[in-house]
Amino acid sequence: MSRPAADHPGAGSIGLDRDLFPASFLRLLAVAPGLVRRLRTGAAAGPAVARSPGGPFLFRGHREYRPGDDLRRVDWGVLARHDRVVVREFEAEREARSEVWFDGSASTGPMGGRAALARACALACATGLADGGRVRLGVLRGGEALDLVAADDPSRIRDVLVALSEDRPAGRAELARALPRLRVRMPASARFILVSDLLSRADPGALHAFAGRGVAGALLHLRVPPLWSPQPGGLWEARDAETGEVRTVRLTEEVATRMADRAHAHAERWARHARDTGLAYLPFAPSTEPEALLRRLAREVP
Amino acid sequence: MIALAHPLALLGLLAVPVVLWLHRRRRRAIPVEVPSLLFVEGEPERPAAPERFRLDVDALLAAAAAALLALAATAPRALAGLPGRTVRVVVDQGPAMGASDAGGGPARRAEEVVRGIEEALRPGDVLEVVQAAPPRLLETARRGTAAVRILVSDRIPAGADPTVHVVAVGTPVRTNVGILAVDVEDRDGERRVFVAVGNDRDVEARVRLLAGGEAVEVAVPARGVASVERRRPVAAAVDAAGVEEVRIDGDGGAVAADDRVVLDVRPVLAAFAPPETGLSGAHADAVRRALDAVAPGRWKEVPPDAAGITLFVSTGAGPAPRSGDALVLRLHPVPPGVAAARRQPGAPVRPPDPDLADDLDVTGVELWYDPAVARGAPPWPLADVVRRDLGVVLREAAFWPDPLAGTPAPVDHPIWPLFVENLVAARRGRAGASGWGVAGTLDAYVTFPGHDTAAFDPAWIAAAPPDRRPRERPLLPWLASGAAACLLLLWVVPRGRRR
Repeated sequence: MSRPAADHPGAGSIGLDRDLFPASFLRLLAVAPGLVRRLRTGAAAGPAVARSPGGPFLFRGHREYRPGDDLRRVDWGVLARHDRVVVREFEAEREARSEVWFDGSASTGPMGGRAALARACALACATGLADGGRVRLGVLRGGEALDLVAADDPSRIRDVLVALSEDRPAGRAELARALPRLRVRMPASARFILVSDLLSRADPGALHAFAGRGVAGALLHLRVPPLWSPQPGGLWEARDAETGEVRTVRLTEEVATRMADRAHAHAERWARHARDTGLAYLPFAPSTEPEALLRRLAREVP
Repeated sequence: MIALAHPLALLGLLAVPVVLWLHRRRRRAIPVEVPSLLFVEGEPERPAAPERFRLDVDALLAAAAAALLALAATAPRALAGLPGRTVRVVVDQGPAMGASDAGGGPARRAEEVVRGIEEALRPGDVLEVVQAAPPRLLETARRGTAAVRILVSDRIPAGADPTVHVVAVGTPVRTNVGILAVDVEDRDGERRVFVAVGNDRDVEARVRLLAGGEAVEVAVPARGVASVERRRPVAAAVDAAGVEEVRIDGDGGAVAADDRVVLDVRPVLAAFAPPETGLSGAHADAVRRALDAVAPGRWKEVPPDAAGITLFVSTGAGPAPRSGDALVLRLHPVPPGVAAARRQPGAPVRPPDPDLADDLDVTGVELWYDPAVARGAPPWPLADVVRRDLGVVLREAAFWPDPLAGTPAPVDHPIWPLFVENLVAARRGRAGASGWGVAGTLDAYVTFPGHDTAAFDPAWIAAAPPDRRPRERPLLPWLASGAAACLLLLWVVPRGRRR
């Protein structure tokens, strides 16, 4: 799905939800490409080794070997001639493709979840476009993976924002069905970013289907408080945003602690499977500063 | 609880359910939309344990309910505390008030006046309606404490009292012809019937009287009185019933009650129980002399065991008569220490007992005590002799303070004739125009309808200064009751149902 081009993310406001993307966020998006490049350049010389700092096509140079580097990138000729262990580095893949898929279920709507999720998707797309790559934005809903917009230039970020503005949380994501279908459509060696609240009974092991295809990326976990209680001990008639099911619970301190423990265990399970798959795990909340999330995307997401 | 019948009090009570509703609403479950119930599963749907006493919530409810109850208790207190007036209304119950005319008669108009006075009352005012009969109307109106005194009669009495407002509901057009006096005397084998007839018309009235089965024409002059005396032999067959009836045959005017008189002419049969010694004997002699004075020739002394005794005089614990129809007069022993006694002149020595009917005439008897004999507080410092028209229902009378005991007072002390006169009147018939026998002469004022008219003015009440002060009620019991009620309420309501 293609959208009209715009020179600046903030140019024009037709179809743009200002509640989701305020002016301050649009200013951040405008400077996102340069910021991402600077951050990634610095990260290359950091102590941590990136999993794949570029494609195998354009040779950029050598650098000293650091523990953890892929032994296949060791330049054995230099070792033999100069008795130095160096690894080969290549230019970033110009044709790198970012796949940004977000959870479109109704559970992402309440308590500021929709805005936080839309901004995270916009930042992920901006990060993908900053490297000169292509970006495809899609939504997982009802067990299906639906394309929303495709962009190949940073100036097309406005199309992404409009698509996010027009999409409304509804129904259920059904990750157990949607992820396998998405995996089939996922190109090899793509940069996969999944943005979801993960409020699903789906098995996190479904992420392993993406392993072995050279897929890298991140799992952006939207975490909102499961219940909000201004008065300790209050009685709550909680209605599930997805199913409409109603439960009356008294949110005492003990109950809140148990619920937090369950949410933490649930997040840890998804994070473990994401790391095993090769995806970075980035939890964020509606209160997370967009710039902080952008920095983490640039630094930690391969 | 009377205070809670006030509208403001009821309003305060109605606020209590509102507070309870707000309390429950405050503690109800708050609906909230959550992303998922994924992490809520496993939690109990409702609290498994009984709800604890919530000091912040339940104490607030108790305080609110207590405040409302206190308001309910104190609000009527404030209003009940408004100064008010006592409006004493004396309604004439004399025979003339029973006159009939086109407007329903003075009695009906008097009822309308009383209703009008009642409507003119303001919050805090109290209405006292007293029935009285001439000639003690003004005297009755002056009694007691009142801010406004109103006399409702068929005429404006002479000697107007500026403290008593008079509402006259007389009948201007109707006049009356009535029997003013009837007396019967048996002497020398013949019966003499004396009848006096009054006429308040402006023209002479010719009246046809039926007395002793005979008719006689009497010409009564305008605004005058005419009398006639009929004599006939005493016939055992005719007079066996002992009743003499006199009535006006024809138009008797506006008042029908004085057109017929039935007089019991049987002699008073008095018996004196032994022993007649000492003080008892003196008492018996005093009663005999009183009977001679009030019923000369119409009483006979009979043995205590005779039949048909009218008056049985006995001591406090003496024997009782065989006949149940006899009126028993018990002369009780003298209180110890009484040295002298005399009738109190003028007004009664103390206000009438409120339980007594208003038409009672209380005569005070003041006793003097001999300090050498009396010890401690005298048992009866003051005693009342109730002089009233003794009805036929009266079967026994007691006379406690003995004015003769140990005193130089003469045996014809005025108390004895007054007392015995009432006993005789009770036996022979009450003086009046309402169907009782008339032995003696009545005042025409009593029976002839008044012609005056004077309207009630509500300004009499509005302009009168209040004479009733607010009654203070202690607030603490109400507050304590309210707090107890709140605690009871909190205890009674099942805690599992409270939210």
